[in-house]
Amino acid sequence: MKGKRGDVSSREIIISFIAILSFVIVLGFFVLWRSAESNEDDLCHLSVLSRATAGEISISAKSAVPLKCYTKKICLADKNCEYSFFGEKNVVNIDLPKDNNKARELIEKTTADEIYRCWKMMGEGKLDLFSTYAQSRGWEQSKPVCVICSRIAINLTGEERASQILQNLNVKNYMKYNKVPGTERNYIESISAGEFKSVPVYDDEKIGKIEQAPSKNLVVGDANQLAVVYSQIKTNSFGEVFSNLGSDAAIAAAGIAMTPGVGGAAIKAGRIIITAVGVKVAAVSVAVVGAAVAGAVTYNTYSSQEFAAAYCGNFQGAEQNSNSGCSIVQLVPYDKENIEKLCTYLDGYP
Amino acid sequence: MDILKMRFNKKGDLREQVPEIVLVVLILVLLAFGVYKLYEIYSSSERDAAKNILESLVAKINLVKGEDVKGKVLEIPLQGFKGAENWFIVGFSKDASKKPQKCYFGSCLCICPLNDNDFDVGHRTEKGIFHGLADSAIESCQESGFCKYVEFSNVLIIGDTLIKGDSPIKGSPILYSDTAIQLSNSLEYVNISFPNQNTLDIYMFREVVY
Repeated sequence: MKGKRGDVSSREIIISFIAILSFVIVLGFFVLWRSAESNEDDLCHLSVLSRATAGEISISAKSAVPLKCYTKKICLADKNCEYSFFGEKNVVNIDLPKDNNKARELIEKTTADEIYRCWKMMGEGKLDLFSTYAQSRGWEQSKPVCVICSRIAINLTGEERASQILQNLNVKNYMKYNKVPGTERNYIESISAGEFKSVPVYDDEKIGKIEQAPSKNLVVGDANQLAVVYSQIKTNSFGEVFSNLGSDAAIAAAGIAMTPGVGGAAIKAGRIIITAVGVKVAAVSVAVVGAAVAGAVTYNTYSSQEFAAAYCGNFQGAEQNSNSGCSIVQLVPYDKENIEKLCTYLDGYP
Repeated sequence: MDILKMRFNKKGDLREQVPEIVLVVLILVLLAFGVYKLYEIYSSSERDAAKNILESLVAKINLVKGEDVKGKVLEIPLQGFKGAENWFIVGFSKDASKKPQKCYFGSCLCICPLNDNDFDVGHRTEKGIFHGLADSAIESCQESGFCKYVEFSNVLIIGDTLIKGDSPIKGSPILYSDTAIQLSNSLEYVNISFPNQNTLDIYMFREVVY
């Protein structure tokens, strides 16, 4: 039977089955990717996971994976948000109820939901997204990097209504006393549960003072906007930095030794130098260079930890050990001054 | 040799290999497609972001130009992104002798990927050192940039950078003026003003401390 021409063996059936299965799996992946493309949150989360995974394989590969996270624009308004978002795409318009209390509550809920969405989308504070190769080796100091997840414009008609709503706005309380939809935890508990210290931060006083669009002389601006900002700073311990440097040195040495001709040449060059300058001078030179490198690395690592402690301590309180860094979701007025205080630079897309 | 011949000359050997070859080719094609799709998705982000910034800027300019804004300076925020520093806002007046073909019929604002070679060598002015656009900048705008027409005969764009500290030229702070505004990966503002009905003036000031 088996020997007959045109017969199909069980091996061929299995191979064909594997081929079809592989095709279906790959096709499924692309279908998922396409659906992610149409949903910006999924696409952002997918790119966050891709970057974190790339970082696990090689920290250098991390920066090559862009974060496909776009700033969501939300307009909470009595009329519209032309003042803030004119000419911008994909603006989500939410009409505010006439009742001041209901309008305030809707602003608080939308803001709390956006803070939670941002935290969830960016990996719940568990993923290291922004640290670089140079930082992991102590060549460069760690700095906080941010993604602006949302811009929320609040446009209220009438000074009295604006002041009544904005002065009583209390996002902090809303997050404390309301559960995240579909969960048993409130917003603050949910966000603080991340392994890589993650906290929501807001300043209701600042938020209450955001300006309203001038009713006359229509101009454009950002004075009535809030930003939900995810920031992260991550530092390495001295042990991690020196271990990373050690493994780099080992890989380089192995590479030199295994490359035909180079290993032998390197040893010869070393011998010539030692013969020319003497063992003592060569040893002292190596020790001096080594000490200088170690000093610079130690200084950068120490500075990074100090900076992270100060940066994170501002938000988490002095009792927390923030030397290793933190992830923070913040609600701040959308302006240069506030964004610059938080972020060395921005990632993601406007 | 005999052993090799025996292995490869057996009847039906090639037929047995066909499904495996098909499988390998199929997987390679899918992988190539996947890599291409990933590249396409990721590489388009930076260009899309730059294009959106231009569109939003021009929309805002068109919105305010009908209002009574003479003498006022409008601050428009530009939210940066990763890779933004490769992109520059440039403008071409209606009567400019050199401009991209895209702007043939009038004045326009463009956002283009430029580098140091796209600016001329520069000359000293009372304020500092002034750099104009080189011909290659116009080519870059034509080939890789995005442009939109604006209804002003004159478009003036200046990006000033004041360098303090250990500037390349030692001594007092030095001001570099470019006829282009470089985007950055932070939140910054451009100042827009309309000195007269036919003129659009876009200005950005940056201070860099070394």
